Amino acid sequence: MTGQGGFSAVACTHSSPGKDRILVIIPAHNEEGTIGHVVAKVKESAPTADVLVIDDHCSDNTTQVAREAGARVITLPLHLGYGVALQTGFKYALERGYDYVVQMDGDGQHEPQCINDLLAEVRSGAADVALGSRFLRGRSYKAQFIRRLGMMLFGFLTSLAIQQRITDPTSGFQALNRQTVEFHTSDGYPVDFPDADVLISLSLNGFRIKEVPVIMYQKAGKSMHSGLKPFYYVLKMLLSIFLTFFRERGYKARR
Amino acid sequence: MNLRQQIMALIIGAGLFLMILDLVRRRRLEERFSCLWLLTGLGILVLAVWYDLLLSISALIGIALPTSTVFFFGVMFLMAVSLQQATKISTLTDQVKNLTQKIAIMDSYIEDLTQGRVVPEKGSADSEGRREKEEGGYTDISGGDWD
Repeated sequence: MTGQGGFSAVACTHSSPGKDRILVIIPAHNEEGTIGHVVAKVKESAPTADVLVIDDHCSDNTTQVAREAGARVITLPLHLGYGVALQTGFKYALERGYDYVVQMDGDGQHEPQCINDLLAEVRSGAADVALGSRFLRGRSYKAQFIRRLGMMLFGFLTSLAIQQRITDPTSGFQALNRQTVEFHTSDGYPVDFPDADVLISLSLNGFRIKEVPVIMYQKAGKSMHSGLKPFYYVLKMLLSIFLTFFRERGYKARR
Repeated sequence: MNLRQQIMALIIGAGLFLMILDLVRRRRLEERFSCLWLLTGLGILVLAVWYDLLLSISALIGIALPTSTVFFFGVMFLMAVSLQQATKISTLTDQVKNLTQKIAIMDSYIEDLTQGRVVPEKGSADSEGRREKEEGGYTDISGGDWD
């Protein structure tokens, strides 16, 4: 690790389960309409967790709304996208010594009550990453045909790559333990649409992934995949997945 | 090559060379980027004066028309430059990202300090740091180890 002060000596210290420090990270860009409700529901579902909203240089009142709902807000001085905002949350969690992190969206797509199901998997030590799946166990989720096709393709590729069935590789609803968070703060983290490639990289580096069924609602607004972006997304993801195999592995074993 | 062409090439080559030297002098261009450009200016000058060299290079790599040789190397040069710049931009983007994230996180520490909140020690996953936090004691954040 380079330049990230002070955490190199920290492995994975667990205290008694009740005293774990948990951080819920919600990257947000102009989501004043939903963020308040999301934060309130998170605090209700997981009262012991701290909630961190990363304001990705919003032009609306996301920051104020989130603060009023009781979240900690940190603001990026530039708009750098979802992946950067998310990684900022990871870096914050690492510096502040959180044991477990939940990442979720601020648009109300993810059901906050499912946080506890995700956390249970990582807190029990059964997995390093609990991946919230909208498809597992017949949970219904309606999506455009093209979008579904893409999800199926990357689900298939990811499952093949990591030799484990993954139904929802694009899920941004996850719980992670501290070691995984530390891995995500390294410079190699793909901040441009981090999803399937991150899972493969995690698996190749020795992290255990487990899917957990969660409830996801259809996005009300416009998806981040619009215009020419889907084409870029598919190309980027294919290249990224391919190159992941030629990168360094065994991160976890070295720790 | 006729005289007009030769004069034209000399002017362009010399102009490019001087322009780059001036940019470096005024510190508008870093030395390490200028090398590639200076070499190009020099190449144009040499070829303008010494036409036979261009002919023998063309013969050597099997290009029939000397003009094609010039265009070929021109395109190669542009590709090299844009690739160099693309890698540089990637590095810069990454650095901007890291700085932006650092600023945002440091802002949160400032907020903590100004509002009198407890500041956890950097990387305080160890039980000691946690106990300090629970007791409500302030921790000196300036003492973190920045390796």
